[in-house]
Amino acid sequence: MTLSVWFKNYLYFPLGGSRKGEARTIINLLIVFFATSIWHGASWNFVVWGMSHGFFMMLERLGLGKIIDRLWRPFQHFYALMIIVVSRVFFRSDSFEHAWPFFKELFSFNFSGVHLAVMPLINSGAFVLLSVVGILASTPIFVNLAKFVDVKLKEYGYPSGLYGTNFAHISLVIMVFLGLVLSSIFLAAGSYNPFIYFRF
Amino acid sequence: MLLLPKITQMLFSTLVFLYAFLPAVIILYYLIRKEYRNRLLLLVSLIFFAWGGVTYTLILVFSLIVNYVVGRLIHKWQDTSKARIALTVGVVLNLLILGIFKYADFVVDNLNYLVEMFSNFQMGNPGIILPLGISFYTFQAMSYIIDVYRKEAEVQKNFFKLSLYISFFPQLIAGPIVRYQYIAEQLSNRKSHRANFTYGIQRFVMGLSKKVLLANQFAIVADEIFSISLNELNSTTAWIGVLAYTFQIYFDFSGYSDMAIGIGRMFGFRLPENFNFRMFRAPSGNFGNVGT
Repeated sequence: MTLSVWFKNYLYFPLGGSRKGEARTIINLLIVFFATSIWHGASWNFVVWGMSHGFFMMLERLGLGKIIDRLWRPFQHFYALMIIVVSRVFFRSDSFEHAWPFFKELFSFNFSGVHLAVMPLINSGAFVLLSVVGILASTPIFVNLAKFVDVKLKEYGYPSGLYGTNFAHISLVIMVFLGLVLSSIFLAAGSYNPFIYFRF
Repeated sequence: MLLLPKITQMLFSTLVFLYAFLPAVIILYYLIRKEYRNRLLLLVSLIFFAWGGVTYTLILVFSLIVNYVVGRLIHKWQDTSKARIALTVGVVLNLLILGIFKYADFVVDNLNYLVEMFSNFQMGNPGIILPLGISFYTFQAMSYIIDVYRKEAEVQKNFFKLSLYISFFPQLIAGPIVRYQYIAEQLSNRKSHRANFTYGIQRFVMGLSKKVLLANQFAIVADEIFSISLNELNSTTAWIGVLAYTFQIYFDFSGYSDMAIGIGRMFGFRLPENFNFRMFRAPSGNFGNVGT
């Protein structure tokens, strides 16, 4: 059960859910979004983060949703991602005084060079690799690719299973091994390891 | 206790957990007889908690007793108005625990802010430190008593089993929140065979890698950018910052979920999936789910 399912089950439905008319539904949704926001931590920043999602949810119910559903799919994703990414400023910042100017900076269109303190962190092959892996790993592409190769191998007559060619399986074992070794090395070397759920 | 390193919480992505705590628990678990395994897991979960401070465990134990008693009372008074009273008391107590340990400081700060406009009086801030996982176990316990009241879940008469359900250590840091009826059968009767165990290891390492190799690396960039003084910030840097942070939180959370599900599976538990490429799958109407 995700947190949103918890709130649906034990708050949204008891409030009447969507059975008491459009106005009441929107109020119920906003209550649920407020509760979900403040659950993430006792700070108004979480409320701004969560209520911005609630705000768009409300607009979608009031007609924006129908417009968005008719858009080209990549635009739909772009719309959702924009809200998710931009609102994270409030989730991340320690105070509203920090979050608000940061948020405004996103839309000030001052695209001068990257800050000097950040440049060495991103101007490296390692960061490019991290970004590529990061983007790919946020999609099901790796899982699907391994399955695809498996199917193709079977089509060409290679047996699958423990003693046959089981590409998905073998690549998984190799990846698990590499993952454990690399992670252990990183941890042993004392690399950066922040804990981000301390306000939950 | 002298040997314990100075960390406030034992997280999954630490060498102590990886190479001492978890292996020790696994070995003990498979050495002892089946009827003692639940108790071992409960004991180990309480120790896991006590790592952050023994008071944390005391709060948890208080919550366990409250929810056990309330569950029994709701069951005993089923279909009478008393059941509703028991449920109300239970929910209020849970929210009170959460209110005191999570929101007291926040409420006092806000009240002070309001009072400031009219007078010089200021309340002292209680300065409470948030106990690890309190939001997760409180919500999980509340779902149990509400489900017993709604008759969607059977009452659990065994205190140790209910306590294990509420405080099982893999879920405590970042979920998933599990409904009691989902796991009830597994508390009494679960199969731990080799395929489960292997899958558990794979899943755990996948999560560990997401956390250490991806999330933590994005965090370096995100944390640097969020600490730059605001007058030096420009749009390019700010966008890199939010994007890096979005990736960090995505992999951190999905990594923790994988690790929780993986550890659960090593002990024969099947915890529900709570993460499924949601970040890129959700078009309109659904994005609110991203995060937790």
